[in-house]
Amino acid sequence: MKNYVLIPEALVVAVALVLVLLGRAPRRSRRWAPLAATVLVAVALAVELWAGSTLASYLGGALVQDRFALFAKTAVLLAAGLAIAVTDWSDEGAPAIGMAMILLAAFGAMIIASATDFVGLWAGLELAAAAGVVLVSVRRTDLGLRLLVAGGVASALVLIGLAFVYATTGAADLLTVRRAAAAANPTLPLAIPVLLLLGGLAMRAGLPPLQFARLPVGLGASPLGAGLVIGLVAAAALTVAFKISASLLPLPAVFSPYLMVVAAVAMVGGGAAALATRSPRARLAYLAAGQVGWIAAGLATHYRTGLGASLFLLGAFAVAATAGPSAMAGADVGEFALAGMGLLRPARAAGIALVFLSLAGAPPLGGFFGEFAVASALATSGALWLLALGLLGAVMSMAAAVGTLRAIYLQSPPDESRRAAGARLPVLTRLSTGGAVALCAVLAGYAVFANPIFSLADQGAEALGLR
Amino acid sequence: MVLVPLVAFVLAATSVRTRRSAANMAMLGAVTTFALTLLVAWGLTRRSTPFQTLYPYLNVPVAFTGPVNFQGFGIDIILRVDRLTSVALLVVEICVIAGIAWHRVMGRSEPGGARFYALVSVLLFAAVATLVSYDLAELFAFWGLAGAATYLLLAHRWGSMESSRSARIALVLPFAFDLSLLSGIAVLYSHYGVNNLSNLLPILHSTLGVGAKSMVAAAILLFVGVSGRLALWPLSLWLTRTATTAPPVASALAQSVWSVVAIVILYRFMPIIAASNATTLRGLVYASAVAAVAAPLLTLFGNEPRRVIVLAGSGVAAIGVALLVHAYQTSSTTYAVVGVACVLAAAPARAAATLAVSAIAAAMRTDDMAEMGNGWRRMRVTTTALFLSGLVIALSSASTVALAVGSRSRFGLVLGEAVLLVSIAALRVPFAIAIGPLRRRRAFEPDRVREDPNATLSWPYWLAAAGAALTVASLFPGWIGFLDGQQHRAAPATGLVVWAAVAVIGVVVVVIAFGADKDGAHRASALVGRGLDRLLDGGAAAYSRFLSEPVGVITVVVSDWIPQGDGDLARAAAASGRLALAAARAPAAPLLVALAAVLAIAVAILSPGLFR
Amino acid sequence: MILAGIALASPTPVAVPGAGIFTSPLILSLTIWVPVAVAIGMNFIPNPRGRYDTLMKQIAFFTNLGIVFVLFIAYNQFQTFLPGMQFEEKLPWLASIGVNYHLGVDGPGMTMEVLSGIIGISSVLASWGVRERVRSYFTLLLLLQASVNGAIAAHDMFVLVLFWGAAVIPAALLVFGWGGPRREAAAWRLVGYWGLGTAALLVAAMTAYAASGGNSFDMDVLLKATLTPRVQLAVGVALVIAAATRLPLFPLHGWASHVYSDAPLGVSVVIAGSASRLGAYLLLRALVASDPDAARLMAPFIAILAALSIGYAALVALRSVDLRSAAAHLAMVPGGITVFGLAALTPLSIAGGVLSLFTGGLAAALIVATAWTLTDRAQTRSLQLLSGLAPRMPILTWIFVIATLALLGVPLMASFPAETMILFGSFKTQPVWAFAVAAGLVLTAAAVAVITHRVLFGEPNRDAPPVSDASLGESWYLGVMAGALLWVGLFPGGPKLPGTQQPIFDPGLINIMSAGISDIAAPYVPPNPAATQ
Repeated sequence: MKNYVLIPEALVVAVALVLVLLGRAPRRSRRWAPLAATVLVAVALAVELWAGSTLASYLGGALVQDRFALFAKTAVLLAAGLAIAVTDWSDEGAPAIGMAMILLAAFGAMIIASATDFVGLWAGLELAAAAGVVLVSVRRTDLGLRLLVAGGVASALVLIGLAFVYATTGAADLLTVRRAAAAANPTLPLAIPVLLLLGGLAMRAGLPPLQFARLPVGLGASPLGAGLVIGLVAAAALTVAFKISASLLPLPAVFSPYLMVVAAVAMVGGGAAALATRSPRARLAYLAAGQVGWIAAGLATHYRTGLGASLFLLGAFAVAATAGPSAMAGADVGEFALAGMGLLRPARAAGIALVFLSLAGAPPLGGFFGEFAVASALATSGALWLLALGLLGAVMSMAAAVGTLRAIYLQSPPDESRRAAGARLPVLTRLSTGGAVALCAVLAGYAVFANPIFSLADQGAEALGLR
Repeated sequence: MVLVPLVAFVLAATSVRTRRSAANMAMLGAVTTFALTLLVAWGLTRRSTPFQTLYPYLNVPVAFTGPVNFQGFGIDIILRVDRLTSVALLVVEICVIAGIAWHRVMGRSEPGGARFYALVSVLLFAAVATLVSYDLAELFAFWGLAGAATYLLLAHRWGSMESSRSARIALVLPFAFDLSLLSGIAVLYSHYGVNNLSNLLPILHSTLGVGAKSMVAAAILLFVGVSGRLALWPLSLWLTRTATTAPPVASALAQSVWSVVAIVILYRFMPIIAASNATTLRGLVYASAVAAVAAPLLTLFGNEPRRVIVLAGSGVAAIGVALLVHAYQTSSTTYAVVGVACVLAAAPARAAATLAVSAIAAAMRTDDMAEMGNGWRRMRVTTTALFLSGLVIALSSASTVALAVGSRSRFGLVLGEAVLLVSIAALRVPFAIAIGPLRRRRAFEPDRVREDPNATLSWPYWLAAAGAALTVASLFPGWIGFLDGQQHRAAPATGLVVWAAVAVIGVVVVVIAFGADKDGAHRASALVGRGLDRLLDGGAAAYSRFLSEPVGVITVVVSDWIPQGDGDLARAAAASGRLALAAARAPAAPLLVALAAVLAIAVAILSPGLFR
Repeated sequence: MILAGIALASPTPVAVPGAGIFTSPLILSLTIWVPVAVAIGMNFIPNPRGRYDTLMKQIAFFTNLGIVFVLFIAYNQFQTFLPGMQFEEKLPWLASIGVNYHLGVDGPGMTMEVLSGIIGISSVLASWGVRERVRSYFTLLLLLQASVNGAIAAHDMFVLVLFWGAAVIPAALLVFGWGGPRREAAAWRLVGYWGLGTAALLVAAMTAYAASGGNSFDMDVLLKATLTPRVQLAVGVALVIAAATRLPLFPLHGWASHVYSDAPLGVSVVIAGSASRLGAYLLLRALVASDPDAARLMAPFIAILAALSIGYAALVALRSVDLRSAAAHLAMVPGGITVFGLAALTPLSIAGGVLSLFTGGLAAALIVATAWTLTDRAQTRSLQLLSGLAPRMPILTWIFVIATLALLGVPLMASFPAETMILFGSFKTQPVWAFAVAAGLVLTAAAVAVITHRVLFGEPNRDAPPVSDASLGESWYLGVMAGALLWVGLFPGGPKLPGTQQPIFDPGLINIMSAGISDIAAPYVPPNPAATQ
């Protein structure tokens, strides 16, 4: 069984490489590519769910398969698969490259999920980020460049942070770092690098106030690119943050305060910005930023239930934030692009509505369940002030989501002139409809089956060494 | 007996459309109730114990621990008719029947005929039900219903702004006193946990944890509550203000029916009120004595005949209340019922006087006694009825006072003045109308003034006769004994003479005054009346300036401010969102440079520590 | 001896015959998830150009009829005088943090369920006139009803927060989509205030959760935990904020006049009738029944809020020039009375408060809905134009009068026993504010009198637009609510076989309601003076 565990990774990479090569093939022969990619990702997901429960380690322990890896890999595979399925490929410049990059980013996140040392974490994160840069550059080279520069700085921050942590603790693998941390005292020499490290990760995850690179890029990229940058890369960065926090858990003083501040700014700022903007994709991006804040808040509680709750929320976030922009297709031109979507594209509209509600943490979807669990962790850890700020942000987020739902279901479709201005309706295909239905099913099922999913997330937190 | 008027109301409200059929329906209900009451009264002459029946309406357990009488709450429909109640019922029903009959002809010009009769049925139902209620919650419920019906009757002329304005006083003022009654009942319940009056009275003194303060509070609240509907001065404002603006029958019923209902309920409450303390009782006696003198005294201020009748009746009611409370204060409770008998006797006469005056005022097209006159020649029958009813109002108090109070006591002297003033007030109106010239005015031809249609003439007579009968009856100890089931001695002949003389003096004073210079007397009244009006207007203006308007302004300001406040909050949230948007759109390069600088400084600071 | 006599006369538990024969672990879930399933299912029915709009209405109607039928079974099978929850359902949901899908109702809960059933069917009938986007409208309406039913049945704080918050979105969308001219302001206010309330409720739940050891959100555990007075106070304040935004209570009532004036009729009925009653229900469940110390500490403040709400609402209604706005403010009065009953903290006033949940919901919905229909039929809202309508709209006149009488709690109306119990029960613990509440009722009576005078019985206005009386459908939906008020007013204990105490088919709302109240009120039972002597 141990040999099957890496099949998903292998499958994902293989498909990605085939798709890159396919990029040069004639367009007609690429019609079946999205369906094939979706099916193969589904197969990878099935294998992950079937074989992923096996505990195993590879490359001398550099990669492990544990419950955390199972949960995180399942989440990114679901996110990638759904994103590919719901994307309106007629709107993507280079479909094959798009799919390949999504899968490579997913592969990067899967590496992070299994990695047990700094190298694996950094490599996975860079792979995911690089995929993002490539995909963004396909449509907007300038934004790609911006993402590259900002990503470079983020990468530098992460590297310097990791190096200093290594220098301070004398170890590069997470377990030894954890042991060293258990024996050490919280000191400034450790606190500063952790700040740098988390700053880099925050830039990658687009957490306010460091979202200056990711959000504008997310707004200008193609739908799939936006999903990749806003969702998958952020999920990868957060997965790294999970592992780092878990390894530094004995010394919460060196990371918890930063995370709390970042979380507070993100939750309130994200909600407020989502309420203020009218562009659906910007709104989605800010809602996602707010939810990332909740995840960070869960990490800041630095104990098992908090991390478990955050991991549970991360799953909902990854799916919604990655597939959301693809489901909205060309809605980046403005709110009017979504007007009447409920009438014209009911399945896709339902998917968008559920994505917004989940990211806003509105009941009764996965986002709400996750945020509630994080809130309970915050309460038990005594961070009621952070909880109160989070709720303030959540109320604004919910109001913002209501605004978008109103456009989808209550406004009349725009006239032809506006359609010509860019509010083009997504092309209706069996795959996109099926993908939208699957997206709805996943987001709703995340709430209905919250018990098993949450217990798996809890086991994931336990696998990180939390008791 | 209780349900018939309700059925009449339901039928009138649901099926009847025309004025005539509504009147017939209401009359049928009233007459049937009257017949049934007669039957009950006849039965009560054959037995000493009252008729009582009980229907559980509400019975809810609320606790299974604590004081046993607070473990559950129940409202029972207890219908209990004793002799006094049966007589009160008969008086009420006579007034209602007369009112309906009178309104059929004289109220033809009133709007919403069917609605008026339906409301009269509701009033009858509620009044009868209140009189027979022995459960405090049930009693208040019907009391409130009667109050609502009374308001709707007094405010029946919706079209006229003046009518609706004065009716608003008839809504707020009595309801405020009803509130006092409710509070009194609630205070009682909160200490005893009992609603049934029969169960409450025996435990008044034997229940632990009930302080004197609570009993005093309950006593005062109950007294004020009842006095409001009895229209004791100064609580009589709601009747005086509506005397001219409401339909005459509505005003007549409000005076007669409510005086009967309220005095009987007060009689029923007296053991509770007496359980407070001597000081309270003394205070209540003083209050009612002052009201008894003040109300008729105020009739000399102004020349509005219907207001004079209202205040004279209010004086009689106050005398009755004073007798009632005084009896308990001096522990000679056998005389308590005398006060009730006094009000019972005056009630039909008050209705009769109001109807008669209204008919005359309508015919003479004025509400100023100075402009009235020559009624004896032009409207002899009505004027006679008015004279009779005035006489009854004057003598009803005199006869009962004779039975209960010695003329030499201080209390007797005060009541003497009250009786004198009442007789002056009650007789002033018929004399003012009967004698003197009826002058020609613009758009008014005195020769056109003539008697009402014959159909309605008899009713004020009948009412006055009923009042007279009750007044005469109250001279006989047997009648008083029939009312309260106790033995009474006859009134001393000297006492009777003295008190009758007081009333007669009042008549003589009026005759002399009007005989000497009727116009002068009216001018004097008008003069002091204007002063009183100015005083009242000043009070109303002060109320409006210092209470009503400020409260209104505050309400408006708050109701404007709250939506504005939450709107501002929403705008603030949006503004903070725009800040976040601006932060997101901040130029990347300078931020990165700044970040790099921070990074360099951090490394510089840390490096020695790191490589140590 | 007299006391002994009273003791014998005091009610003793008598089970209603026929109760408890049938019970189902799904009854409460059915009332929540059937509307949700139907709402989702409706969207799979093809409806080209609104061809099957009527079918959508019928589906919504029969769904509600089915729920009423289920509730009728639950109502009849409910075992009176049985303390604790009935029809309980419990499944683990987020087991790691102690969240369960736990539903159950006691007497007050069953009362609220019955209210919700009546309001549900009335709201669908009231929505029969909807012409635009019918499918979306009824989808959202069913979701709103489901969330209200869920919040009523919830016996786990998580489930309560879930349904409490879930109500916001469909309600806001309904106002946005089908509201009147000022629907924007109304809908955003609804989102803002109700969102704030949801946040406050969550803070309360989390504070109690943390203070009780962070084991479970189950109300049996969370609300029964012994908390320090400070924590209880914090929880209490948050709960009062949550309740005040829902009911609404002064000064958190900013949404009410806008929403009741500009929301579509059916939505106004649901919000005024059942959704807003959840505020008082929350206070009963989470404060009065759970935190006696906090309840005692906060009772005076809550009583002041209640009295202020009633007085303020009456004064604004008195000065209002818009009938819908006046009715919207009058609809605040029953909420104030209910909350005052709960704040008085005596067994009797609490029982009155619970009954007032039902009667107040119906009265508020009826006054709002009648004003809505009347202004719709008269083609104007202005109290300057509306005058002398009684002869031209007799049905609406009668129902309007019934609504006002129900507001004031006059006899024969279900609100009479409720208000009597509240006032009688409160004079010992809150005499001043009881008097203030009663004075507020007098003000309300004045406001009602002025409005009735202007609108119904004044001189007909020749310049006003032409009017017409209520249609059959409107008479039905208003009649259902008025009928329920009259029925409970006439037979609070249910109709009995003549000469016996055996109920015929209705066990009596008062008997159903009283189940569990003795437990809730146990901490507030006054000491027995005989024992203390």
